[in-house]
Amino acid sequence: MSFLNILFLAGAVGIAGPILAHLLARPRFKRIPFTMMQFLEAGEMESQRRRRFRNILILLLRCAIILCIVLGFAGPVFEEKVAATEDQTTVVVGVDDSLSLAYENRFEKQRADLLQRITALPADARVTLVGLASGQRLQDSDISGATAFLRQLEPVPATVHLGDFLSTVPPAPHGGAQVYFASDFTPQLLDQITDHGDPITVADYEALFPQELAPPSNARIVSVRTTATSADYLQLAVGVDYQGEESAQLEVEARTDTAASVSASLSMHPGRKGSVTLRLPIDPTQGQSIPVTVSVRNEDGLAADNHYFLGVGFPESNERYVLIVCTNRREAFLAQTALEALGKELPHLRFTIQVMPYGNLNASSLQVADTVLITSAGSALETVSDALETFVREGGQLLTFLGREHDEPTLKALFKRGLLPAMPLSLSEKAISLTVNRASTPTSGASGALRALQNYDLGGYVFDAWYTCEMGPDSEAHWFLESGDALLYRTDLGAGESILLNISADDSLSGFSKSPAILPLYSHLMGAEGTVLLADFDADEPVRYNLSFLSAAENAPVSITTPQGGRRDGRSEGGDLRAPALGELGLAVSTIFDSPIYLGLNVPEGETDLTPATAEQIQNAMARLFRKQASEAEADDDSTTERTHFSAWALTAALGLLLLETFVANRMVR
Amino acid sequence: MAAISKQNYLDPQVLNRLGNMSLVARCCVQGFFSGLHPSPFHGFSVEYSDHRQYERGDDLRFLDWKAYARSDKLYIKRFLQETNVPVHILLDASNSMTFSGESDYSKLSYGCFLSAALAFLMLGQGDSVGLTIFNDKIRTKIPPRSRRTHLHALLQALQHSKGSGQTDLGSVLHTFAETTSRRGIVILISDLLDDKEEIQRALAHLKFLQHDILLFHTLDHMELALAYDGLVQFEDMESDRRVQVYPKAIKEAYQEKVAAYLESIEKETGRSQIDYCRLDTSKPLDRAFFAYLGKRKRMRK
Repeated sequence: MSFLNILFLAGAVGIAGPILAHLLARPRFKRIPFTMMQFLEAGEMESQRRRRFRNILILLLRCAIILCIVLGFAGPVFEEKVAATEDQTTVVVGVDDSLSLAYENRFEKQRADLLQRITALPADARVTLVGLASGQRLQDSDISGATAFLRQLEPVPATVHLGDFLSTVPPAPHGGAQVYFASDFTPQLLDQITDHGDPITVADYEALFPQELAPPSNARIVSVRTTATSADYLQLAVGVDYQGEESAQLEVEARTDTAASVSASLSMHPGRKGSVTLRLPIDPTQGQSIPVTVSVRNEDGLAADNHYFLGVGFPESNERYVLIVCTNRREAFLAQTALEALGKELPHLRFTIQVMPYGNLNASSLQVADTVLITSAGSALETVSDALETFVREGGQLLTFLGREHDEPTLKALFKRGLLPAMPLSLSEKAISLTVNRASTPTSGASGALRALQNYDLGGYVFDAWYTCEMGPDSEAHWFLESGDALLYRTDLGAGESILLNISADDSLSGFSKSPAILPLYSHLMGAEGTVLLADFDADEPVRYNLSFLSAAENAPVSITTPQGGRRDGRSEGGDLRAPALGELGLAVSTIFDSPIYLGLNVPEGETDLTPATAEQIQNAMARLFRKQASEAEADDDSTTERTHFSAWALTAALGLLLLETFVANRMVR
Repeated sequence: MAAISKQNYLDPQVLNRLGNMSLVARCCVQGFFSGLHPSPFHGFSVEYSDHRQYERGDDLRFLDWKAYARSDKLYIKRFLQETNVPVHILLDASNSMTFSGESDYSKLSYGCFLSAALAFLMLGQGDSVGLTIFNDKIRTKIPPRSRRTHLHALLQALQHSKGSGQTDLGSVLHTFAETTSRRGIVILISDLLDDKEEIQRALAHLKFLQHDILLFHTLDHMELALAYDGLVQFEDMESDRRVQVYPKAIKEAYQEKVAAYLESIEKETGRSQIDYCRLDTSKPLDRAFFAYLGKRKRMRK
């Protein structure tokens, strides 16, 4: 025999009470002078005998009542060997279908895992399934019935009831029951497990829990967008996802680093999404980049469930002077068209375009330009090479298109001066297709605009000739072609840069100018400053973005949401954001077409009541619930053990004895 | 004091409130006779109640001249007793007689009322009455006299009687028998709580001496019923004996034993031709009177 709560046996000392009362009690009597004593004496013996019997009976009943109460609370369990049944696989599955499993796709993953395990069971296996929160139950079914039941289970807005499940775990027959316990092991469940009594003996047990035990938020900001701006406020639309198990009132707050803040309440129901609009006051003098923190807090008294960090950029109006140097009107027209298209996409950019024939190019015209586009290199360039060099060194941008028609000596001279990043060597007559090699690696420091060009397919043009180029010592090559040659060469020169774009295969600006790839190049050349996201990173390098304005994002997992809706997982380290992949972030640069520009970083932090346990905590919890059969001998025993609980019997017996004691005390003749 | 009917004077509760034995005696007797319609006991009222026709040889002293004047016929008064035997009232005044149960008066008080009433009745009829009060010894002995003034002495003795000591009925009766020369009527008022064999022998002694014995066995209602609740320690009034019982538990057996005991006494006395009358002190005294008067009637036949 064993006991569920053995400490209650200490209450057996209470038996001393009735015993002492019996021994020490002195009955009260009346003293009456009487005469006919001889007739009393005959009945005295009988009366004393009867009294003694009654008193002892009452004493025994009272002691038995106390013992029964003690046993009732101690929970005796009798194990009885019964005849063994045939070996059969018995499986009991507890499925956590509480609402915490509705987070993302955790329940689906859990279901898939269980289905895989159940279908792998022997054909004659009998399965009992219990929804831990819903209470739905399938008792002793075959595999097909079990899988059908499991497929129709869905998370419900309820919490787990452990006791209901444990009552279905049968006494271990020969071979025992295999128990699967699938859950995310929230703190509420762990509390129930802590209060459990002796573990149940089973053949084997296994806890199935989500492997990625990253703490989910039961309230999470899914999106923050600026819907309106002005000089002194920023209007934000905040989308919130709520996965708590009960309806709650959330508080959404937005604040800047200058302590200005605004908050609003949001009523949420489990499994629902909601949104709220916040109008955040901002200081126009804060600068072009304003970090905004949006947080959501549950009313459970814990810290905020989730923060969403926003970098909001307000690019200044930018006026650029672009000088197009061309040999003919057609080239000028194509270049101008591309720039005008860029201007439509970036309203904060205004640029003035001047078209100048080669022959008119002079030093004074270079002085007012910010960017010089040379549609084809001609001999006149050499005459202004000093001025060009000065122009670039002082921060100007030079873009030279290398076509079939070019003045080779001029280009070589400019190359030797370091003004051009590369010079043409010879015209290769090998036919090539003009396809960008995406595997080519840009060097670090190259702008995101340039790297974005890698994603663009130029249409697979086939060219019958191509000029190979020699790179300068400080130049870098990008946008490699299948032939191994680069399409774009670049070099820094002083404060400015010079880019050579080899379009000699086409010998025409039209194809390239029609490609969307030209726009990021031009926007780079235009210097679309004021974007927050001019983060320099390489294609395969971890993204490093300074998160110094995030006070609580140290060594925290970070979910990066791009304005396009894409998501990447990263982590903050040392104040920097690190993310493995780039492409979409590179695309984020293309969002310079959107104004204002922002990048949202969702940092799940704060305390939640859905914080799952560690693997070690889960294993300890399972050991409190279940105990594996100790030895082969126990497993091979030719009999099975049935466990019978006697708590209810003991308490019922106590009640019956109490009624009997009352009857004896009041009715039994003394 | 509320008006009390004459019949109530037989109620010992009422008599107990009277306080004066002389008053008790008168009221009791008057109460008794007032209730009789007509009196079946000829010759026992304080006045004559009947005549018979004169027969030759009757004593002319008892001729009722008034009746003759009225009817021109000769009648002889019958109230006059034709016998004259002394009556000895023996009253047990041992400690056990002071038992009162749940009433305000004890067996001894009851016995005193009875004795006073009987004495009053008998002296009124011209009998001589003596009184002996005893416990384990004779405490008071008043020889029989027939004068009416003798009643005062008897009532005084009864008024001042107190219960005490143990009972030795056998010894007292033997002593009485040996010291009483003339046969008479012996009225014994006692609870008979003594050795039964001794009592029987003593009574037999009296019968041998040709006394007529009228035995009033006086018992309290609680002695017969044992109607007590709870745990009771009964303490003997004449010894140190104690018994602790729940009376309800033994009541039935007790009553059976008491009934058997009383039945045996009744049989024994019947066999010995002793008139036996059991008196419950909670009942009116008329039963005692009927017993006495019946005795007298049998004696006259």
